[in-house]
Amino acid sequence: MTRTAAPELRQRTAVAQAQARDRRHRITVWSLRAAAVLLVLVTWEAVAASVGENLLPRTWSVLSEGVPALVSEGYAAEFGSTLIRMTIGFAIACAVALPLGALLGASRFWADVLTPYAYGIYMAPRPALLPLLILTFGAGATFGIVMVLLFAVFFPLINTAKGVSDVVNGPLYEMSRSLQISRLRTLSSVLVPGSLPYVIAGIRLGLGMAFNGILLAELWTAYSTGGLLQAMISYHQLPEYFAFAGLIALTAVGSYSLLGVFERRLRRRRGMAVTGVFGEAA
Amino acid sequence: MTTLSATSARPRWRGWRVVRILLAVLFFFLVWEAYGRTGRALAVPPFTEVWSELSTLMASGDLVSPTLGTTAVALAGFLIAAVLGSILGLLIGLFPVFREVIGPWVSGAYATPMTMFIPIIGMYFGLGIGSQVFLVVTFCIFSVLMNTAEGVQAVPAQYYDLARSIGISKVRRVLRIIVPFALPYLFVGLRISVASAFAGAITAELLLATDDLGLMMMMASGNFQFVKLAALTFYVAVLGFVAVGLVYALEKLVSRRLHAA
Repeated sequence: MTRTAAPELRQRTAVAQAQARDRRHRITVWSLRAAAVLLVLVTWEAVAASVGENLLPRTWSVLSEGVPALVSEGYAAEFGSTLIRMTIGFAIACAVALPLGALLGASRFWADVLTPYAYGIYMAPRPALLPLLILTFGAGATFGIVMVLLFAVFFPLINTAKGVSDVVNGPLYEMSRSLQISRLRTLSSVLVPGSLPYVIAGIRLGLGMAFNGILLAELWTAYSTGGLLQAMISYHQLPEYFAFAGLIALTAVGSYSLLGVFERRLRRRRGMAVTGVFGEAA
Repeated sequence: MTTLSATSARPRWRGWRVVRILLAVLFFFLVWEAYGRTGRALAVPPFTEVWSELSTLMASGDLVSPTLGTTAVALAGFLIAAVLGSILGLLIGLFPVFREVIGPWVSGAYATPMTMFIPIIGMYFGLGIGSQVFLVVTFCIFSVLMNTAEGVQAVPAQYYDLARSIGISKVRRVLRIIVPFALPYLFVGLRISVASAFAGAITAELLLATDDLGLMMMMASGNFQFVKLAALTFYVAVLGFVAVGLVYALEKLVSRRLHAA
């Protein structure tokens, strides 16, 4: 009796030990994370106190003056309109990037034809187009949308291509071909689900570029959010500036993280490896 | 960045690929020329006009010092980002504590649109080379950092086991196993960030402290010299390609050396 129970018992204690170790590790990590946040806040306060509020506002000023101004001065609403323009530009970018990316990943011919364009648009310093594009599109809403398109198109395109190419060269696709499963069925049950995690990764990275593109365009033309950011610095409204920057950062980081969570869940469900420290990063 | 594998394994003449790529590029210039000749868009003069303007500019020697200036800003920021990024990336890749505590800050900073800090960078660093270089660093540090961390993480566990069983020191383990393994990843990061470095330098010269190539572009635009502006824009794009090409060549060189060793 005892002979058979002993290994089981040992196994159970080993599991319990591992769980305890895991719990200890998690507690350490979370307390270190909290400490890091605290450290940043304390450093901020210390620097603000030593350089003076006209260079760096205290956190309390940002919260008590800056944050209410986001609503009362209509800054948040202005950023909302910027977000709408960004979304339009990004939707166009995706509408271009996803079909072209699929084509690029599925066909060798189109890979040769489209790759120079994809990398060309990525390697060229896109901000250099600011002075030229403003001549064509003027200093209004369209200008920002076009910049977003140029900034954001690369990542969804190249990641879709990678996802589709992986599926097309993989065993499932070959099997569905040899079993003569209809093209539509192959598309809906092999190609789309297999490449979706990559597509989402592309959208996540592209969205980050879209934020950069719209802000750059609006800073260049002093339009909407960009104009406000510049005015806040010119008139030395630093609490407002930091609150506004915080709002923008929160929106960008929030959407990026949400897409990341969605992507990881998809990958897990598909039995794909959830690799990397930063996911399918740059 | 991803490399795409060929879809079919059929053997064929490799030259076709080159021909197709060249034709695709040629197509771009033909469309540009044709659209330019219609004269519909002020900002798109025909390629031939842009080219002759660019050759005149190059022959005049007016481009030399602005090119050096812009390249210096891009290079300074790139080098700082490469050193800081690879060290931080190595730390994040090597130590789980770093990864779990610093990692979220890095992801957050990466997702934050750095362009919104342009006005305040100008205020803090002044409208000079300092702020320009700082902006370039924020543009390119993340791809180096993240790719390096990825590379260190990708070292298979067996290698560590082997190293431990042979009993080599920690320093040698880093130098002999981790660095060679992570190097290709680091180079991917460097290639991406050299492109970002030029983008950052041009952004800085347009929006922060107007100078060098950015200044030339602004002046061309202000004086309604649209052909000159288009020529400069094309020139800057070519500079970006050349820079990426140089890093790519360096990568080939280093990896050949490494394999030979």
